[in-house]
Amino acid sequence: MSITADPPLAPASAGGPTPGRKQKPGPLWQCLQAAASLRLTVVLFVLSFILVFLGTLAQIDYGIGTVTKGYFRSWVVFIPFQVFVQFLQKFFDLHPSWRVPGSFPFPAGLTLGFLLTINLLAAHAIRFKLSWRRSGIIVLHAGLLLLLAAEFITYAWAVEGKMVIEEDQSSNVVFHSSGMELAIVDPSGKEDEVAVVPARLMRPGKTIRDERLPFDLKVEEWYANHRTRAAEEGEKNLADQGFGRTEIAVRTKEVSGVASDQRPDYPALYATLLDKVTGKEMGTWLFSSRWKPQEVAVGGKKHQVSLRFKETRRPFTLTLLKFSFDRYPLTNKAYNFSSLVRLQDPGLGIDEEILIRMNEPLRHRGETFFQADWITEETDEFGNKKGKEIGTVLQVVRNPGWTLPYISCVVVSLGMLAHFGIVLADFLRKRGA
Amino acid sequence: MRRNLFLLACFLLAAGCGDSDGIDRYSVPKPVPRPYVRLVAAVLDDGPAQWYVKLLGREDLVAAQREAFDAFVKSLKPKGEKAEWTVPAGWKEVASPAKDGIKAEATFKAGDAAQPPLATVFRFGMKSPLLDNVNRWRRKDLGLSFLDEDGLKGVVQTVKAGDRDAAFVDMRGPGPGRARAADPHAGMDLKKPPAPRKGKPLSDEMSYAVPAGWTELGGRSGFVPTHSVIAVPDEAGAAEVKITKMAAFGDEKANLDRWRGEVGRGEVKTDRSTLDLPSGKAVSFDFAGDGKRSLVAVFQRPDAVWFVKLLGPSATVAKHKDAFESFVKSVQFKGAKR
Repeated sequence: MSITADPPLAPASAGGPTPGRKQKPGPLWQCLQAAASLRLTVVLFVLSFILVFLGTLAQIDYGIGTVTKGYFRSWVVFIPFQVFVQFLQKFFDLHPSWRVPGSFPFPAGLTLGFLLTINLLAAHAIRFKLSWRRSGIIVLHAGLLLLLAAEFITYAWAVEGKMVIEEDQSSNVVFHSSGMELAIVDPSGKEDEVAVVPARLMRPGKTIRDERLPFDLKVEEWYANHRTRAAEEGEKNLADQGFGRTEIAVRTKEVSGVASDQRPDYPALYATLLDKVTGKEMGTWLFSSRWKPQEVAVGGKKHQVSLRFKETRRPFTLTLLKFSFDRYPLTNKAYNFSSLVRLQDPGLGIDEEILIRMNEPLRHRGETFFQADWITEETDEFGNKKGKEIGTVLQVVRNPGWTLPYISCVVVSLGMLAHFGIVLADFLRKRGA
Repeated sequence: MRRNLFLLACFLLAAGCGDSDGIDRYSVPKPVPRPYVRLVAAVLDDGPAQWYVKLLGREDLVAAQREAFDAFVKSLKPKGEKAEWTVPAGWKEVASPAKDGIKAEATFKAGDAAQPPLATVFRFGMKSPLLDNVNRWRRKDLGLSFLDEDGLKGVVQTVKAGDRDAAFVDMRGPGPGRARAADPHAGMDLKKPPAPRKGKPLSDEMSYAVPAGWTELGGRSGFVPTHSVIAVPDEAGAAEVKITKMAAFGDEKANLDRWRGEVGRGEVKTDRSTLDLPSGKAVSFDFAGDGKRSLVAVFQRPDAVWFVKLLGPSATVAKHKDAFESFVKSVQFKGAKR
C-alpha cells in the first residue's frame, strides 16, 4: 500500500521556523519529523513481515501460546539461529544433524506495534493536511489505528478459559490454560484463603518474597512441559520433601504449534521454601501441574500447595444437569454434543435451564460459553478418553474488542474507496477540462 | 494543537504498558465435597464358572438399596448357563449395553432417584482371582489405589447366600474422574520409595526370558484375561508388552483394524512377516502410526492363539525392537514339541 503524503507543514509555533525567516527547527520538531518518516514506516512494515515469518517458524518447536507471548506480545524476542537451519532442513534438504547455537535480538510485536502507532500519529501531527481531498487517507489511517487498538485490547483484556463441570455438579471457576500459577491455600478458616504466584515470576535462581505469601520461595528449576517418573534408589533428586521424594520430573518438549494433537503443556516447578521469619530452608519440593495439592505446614498451619492452571471465579454458577454425546447410528462418529445447564446468577435474578450445543453457545455477562469437550471416567496411558462420559468442558471466551477488526476492515475499505474515488474524480475532471 | 494531541496519545500508549507482579491473595468459599461412590458386589462360585452381582452408585443411594441387594443375591439360583432371581420391588430392568463384546446377563436401575445405582449380573465362564477384580473395581469405579492380599481381607466378607457361600465386597471411594486420576500418590506411603508392583503370569503355559530393564507386572483377569503384562520403561515414554491367550484368531480384518486404531487415526504403515522360532512358526506385524507404534507376534497353537504385543511411543518401541524380538524368540510353550 502506498501512502500519499503532503510536504511537511511549516511549524507555526515555538520549536519550528517562523514563516519568512530561515530558522533551525527545535529538537522536539526534529524528533517528530524523524518519527513521522515514511522510511521508518517501510522499515517497520518489513520488520513486521519478518517477525510473522519467524513466529511461524518458531512453532516447529514451541506451542502457539509461547510463540504469541514471546514473539508478538513482548518488546524484544531472541531468535535462535537454529530456526533458519530447520527451515533449510525442511525445504532445501540440509542435513538433519546440523545444529547452530546462539540467538539474536529482534524487535517483537509490542515494539513494532508501538512504533507503527507513533509513526502514524506523528505523520498526521506534522505532515497531513486536513482537507476533503485527503479525507480518504485520513479515514484509511483511522481504520489502521483501530486495527492496532483492537490487537492491544485483545492483548490486555481478552479472556479465554475452560469451565469443567461434572454431571450434578456446579461450578463458577474458569481455568486458563495459557497461564499457570502456584496456589497456596489455607483451609483453616470459614473460607479458603488463597495466595497465588503467577508462573511468569518463576525464573530459576529467583527468590520470591511477598507479605501475602506464608513463605518465601526460591525457584530452583522451571520446566515448561514435563512428565514424571518414579525415582530410582540412590538417584540424584532435587526434591527432598513431598511427592517429589519418590517422583522425578523430566523436562519434555513443549507441544508444538503445528502438532496435530494440541494438548496443553504441563509445567513443573522445583522450589525451595524458606521460612518468612528466620529465612531457614524448609526443604525443596516438586510441584507438578499434573498432581493434586501437597500439604505444606507453616507455623502450625497446614497449607495445600499446587501448581495449577490459573483460576478465576464468576459471580454466577453453572450446574450440569445432563451431558449428551449423540453419535451417528451404528458408528462412533460424533453427531452432536450438548450440555443442559442451570444458570444461577443471584446478582441478576436469573435462575434458568439452558441447552448449550455446538454453534449455540450461552452468552452471559459479556462472556460466551461454547460446547468444547467432555470428560470421561478415565483416560488411558496416552491420555485418550476411556469409559462413560461424566461431564462437560465449556470454552469461555471474552474479548471486548472482537468487533473492532471487522469495523476497521470496513473503515479501511471505505477510506480506500473514498481516496481512489476522489483521485479518479480529479483525473476525470482534469481530462474533461 | 495537533502536536499536543500527538503527545497526549503517546502518553496514553506508554501508560498502558505498566505491569504489576501478579501475586494475589483472596478468599473463596470452601468447595462442596462430591458425594462418594459405593460399590457392593457379591461373587458366587458355580462349578467352574462364577456369578458376579454388583451394585454401584452414590453412597447414600446404595445404602438405601443394600437390603434389597442382599435379598436379590440370596434369590439368585444358577441353572446351567442361566440363572433365576427375584427382582426387588422398585428395581427396573434396563438394557445391558455390550462392553468389549461382553454383555451383562441383566442390568437394573435400583430405585427411582434421578441417577439411581445400577445393579448388574454377570456370568463368567472361568474363575478369576478376587483380588484382581477388586483392584479393577477400585481403579475403574471408585478411583482408589490397589490393595494387596492383606488389604483385601478388610473389604471382603463371606456370607451364606441361599445354599451357597458368597464373597461380599463393600467399598467406597471418590469415584473415577480426571481430577482424581491426577494424583499418583493417593494411599501411598511417601516415606518409602515405591517399588514396581511385580507379578506373575496367570498360568505356566507360556514361559519366556524378560529382557533386562523390563518389569513383569503379572496377569490381569477380566472379561478377556491378560496372561501377563510387562512394563517397558523408557525416557521417551513408557511402553507395555501384553500377552493374551484366545481360543481363536477371530476375524483378521477386525484384529488388524483394532491394532491399527491403537497407534493412530491417520495412515498406519503395516508390515507383516512370518517368523520361524524355536517355539514354532509365528506371524508378526509392525504397525507404525502417528507417534505410536506396535509390534505384534501371533503364535498359532493347536489349542489356542497367543498374542504378544509391544505398544507405546514410536521412539520407545524402536529402541526396544531388538529386545522384543529376543523376547519373542525366547517364548516356550509347556509340553510343546517342535
